[in-house]
Amino acid sequence: MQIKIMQNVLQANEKKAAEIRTLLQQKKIFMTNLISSPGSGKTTLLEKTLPLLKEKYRIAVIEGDVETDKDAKRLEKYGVPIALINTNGACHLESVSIEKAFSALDMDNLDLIFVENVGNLVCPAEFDIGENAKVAILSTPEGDDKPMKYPLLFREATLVILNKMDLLKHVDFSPTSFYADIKKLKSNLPVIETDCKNNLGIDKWIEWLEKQIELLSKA
Amino acid sequence: MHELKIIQDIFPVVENTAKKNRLKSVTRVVLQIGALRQAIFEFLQFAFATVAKGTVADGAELIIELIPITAQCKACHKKLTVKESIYICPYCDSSDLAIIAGKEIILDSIDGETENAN
Repeated sequence: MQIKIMQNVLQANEKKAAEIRTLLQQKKIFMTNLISSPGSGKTTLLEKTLPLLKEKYRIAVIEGDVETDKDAKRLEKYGVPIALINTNGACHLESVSIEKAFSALDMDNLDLIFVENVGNLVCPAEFDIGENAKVAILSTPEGDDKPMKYPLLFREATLVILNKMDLLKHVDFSPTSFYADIKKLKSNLPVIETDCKNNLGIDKWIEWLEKQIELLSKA
Repeated sequence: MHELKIIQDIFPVVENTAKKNRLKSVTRVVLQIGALRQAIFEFLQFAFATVAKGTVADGAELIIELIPITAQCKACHKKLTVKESIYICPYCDSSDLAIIAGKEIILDSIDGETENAN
């Protein structure tokens, strides 16, 4: 005999994500989910970002790390609260882990939360954690073919950071192909080019973040 | 790696449904997956066979149905199937599309033998 079930598999995660989204809205906190491959520069970008924003906003970082506290240690010196989640092998963060991280943060005194997801272009794009915006970070050495290879991430993203622009001349990355593919996938997706070594493009990223926080405070 | 997570998530539901319906064995599980999920079918099959070992669904067949990516154009309101990750309306060239299908992961049904069937 056949038994119909028709159940959404990610239901539990999505329900929790919706609760998180409501909570963030009530507390007027902007939470961004940073998604990229390992080594694309997520932590470095945060190292550049935190000093520029921490006087103006109350910030926290949720650090997703498979095994270690290496990234959390790198960010410690910037003096913002950091909640570390070790996924013990899991390749992405889920909404239940974000909820746990919230319990370690003073949620009544925050304007901005950065979630540094586990380095991976597939699974983090699939699991809603209740964030306001997914930001995809791609670095030029990874190649211009990544948007088409990982379409879900680039469809779900609100912004793309194209990092390590300083290496462009040394690697096989065609900006023309990259932008043509982004146009096919999501034509209105904004891209900010950055070079964290020489502090280029960081101002545009900061401007984008400030605009999102402003929009949220008016909502 | 999300393939294993999908299978781990469906298993309690498969087992509970079997128990509730007094199935002595589950012979077939039907899973529907949206194309945007990029799940690898071989990995799903492997994860399923592994997790099923020693359970009521040991040896069951896993049927995976792929749901194509469907969108509705917000400009001309026509429905279209998205192929090769090109999110542009073939009717009016707009790229303002709303995805209406293609992200699902649904445990559709299970088949099995009841305890009193001979």
